[in-house]
Amino acid sequence: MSNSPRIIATTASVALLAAAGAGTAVVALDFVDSPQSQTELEASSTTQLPTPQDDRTTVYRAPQDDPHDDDYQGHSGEIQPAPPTTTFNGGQGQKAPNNTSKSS
Amino acid sequence: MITASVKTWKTELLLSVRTAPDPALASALQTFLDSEVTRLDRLASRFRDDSELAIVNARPGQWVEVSWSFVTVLTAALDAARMTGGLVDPTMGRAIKAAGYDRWAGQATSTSPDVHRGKWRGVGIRPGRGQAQVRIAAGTELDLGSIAKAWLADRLATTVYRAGHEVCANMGGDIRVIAHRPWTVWADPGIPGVDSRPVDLVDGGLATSGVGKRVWDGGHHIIDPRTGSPAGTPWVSVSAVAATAAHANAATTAGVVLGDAGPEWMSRQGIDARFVALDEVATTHRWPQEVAA
Repeated sequence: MSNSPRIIATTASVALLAAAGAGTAVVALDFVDSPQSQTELEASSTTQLPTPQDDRTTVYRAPQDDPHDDDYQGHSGEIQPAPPTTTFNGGQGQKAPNNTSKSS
Repeated sequence: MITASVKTWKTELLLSVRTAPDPALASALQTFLDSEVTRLDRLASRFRDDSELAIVNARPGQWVEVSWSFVTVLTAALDAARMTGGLVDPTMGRAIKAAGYDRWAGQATSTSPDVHRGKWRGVGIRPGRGQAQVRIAAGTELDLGSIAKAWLADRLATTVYRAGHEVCANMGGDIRVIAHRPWTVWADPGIPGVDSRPVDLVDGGLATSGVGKRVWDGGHHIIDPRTGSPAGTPWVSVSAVAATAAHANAATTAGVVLGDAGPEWMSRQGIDARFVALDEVATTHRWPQEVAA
């Protein structure tokens, strides 16, 4: 058998893209990342690919029972820091409404 | 300098470009800002019944037809949840209503308190008959208010910069700068006697979150997803700089939610931030240390 999950998932992504346009790229990638969806697809090589209206098609993220889903303590951090060009020297700009960050 | 402005959402939205006076450009900038604000309001406002967000919220547990534009905003909110380990959660709409925000904002909503930590992972997105479909978990409601203005700042700044202009987009305190040379922006904690602090950005975002303005009896608008209630926090204001306004906004909201643990968490992320309490100022990473006034 050569139906590796990657190949099958790619085929499914192509089908999704064909069905709904290039804007579905993110959705298709999520589909690739979903172990549950891959399991369903691997179960039978003759399984019909899900249609765009099929509930199995897409989830935003992987399974919801992951105990680390909301583990902010162990979170490795994906917030991107400001680039090195950022400085705190005071610059030349005077404080004005258009350049002031204040909680609204 | 040319600046376009719109007063809405109980704040002011300002879009500036660094250039000599140019009436034609000023007019084009104002038209662009007006149209993008109107578009976002139709997509994600919780205070109009015909927004795509309101339509999704009216049918929890069901797949609802939406535009790809709505998915773009929603995805930014879900990214914020992922980046913060769920400390910023766009499915807390019911909790924020229960905390009294609608009454403060002049709305009249009767909703029972509800705690639903982690339900952001239950938001589904898939291709639809027209464009896309979204489904939220039963018992939840979306609130994109935390991220929408920051998302708009990033969108406006990116678009204007690609049109050839150095730009600063300030959407009610969520700022994105893209320029060739430093553009000074200021973090204002909004506390009498506590100075604002300058940051020079070439390409980056600055955001400030706090409990000082949108506060009412018994609560404020920043919900702790771990409890479903307004965050118990000593920080009146948290400012942070990051790669984008959306990232900075996610960081500051999480910083408020975490309370005393906020500065340590922010340091672990490598984020430059300033936490201001009534009697204390804490800074992280490269943000210069200071003492409270």
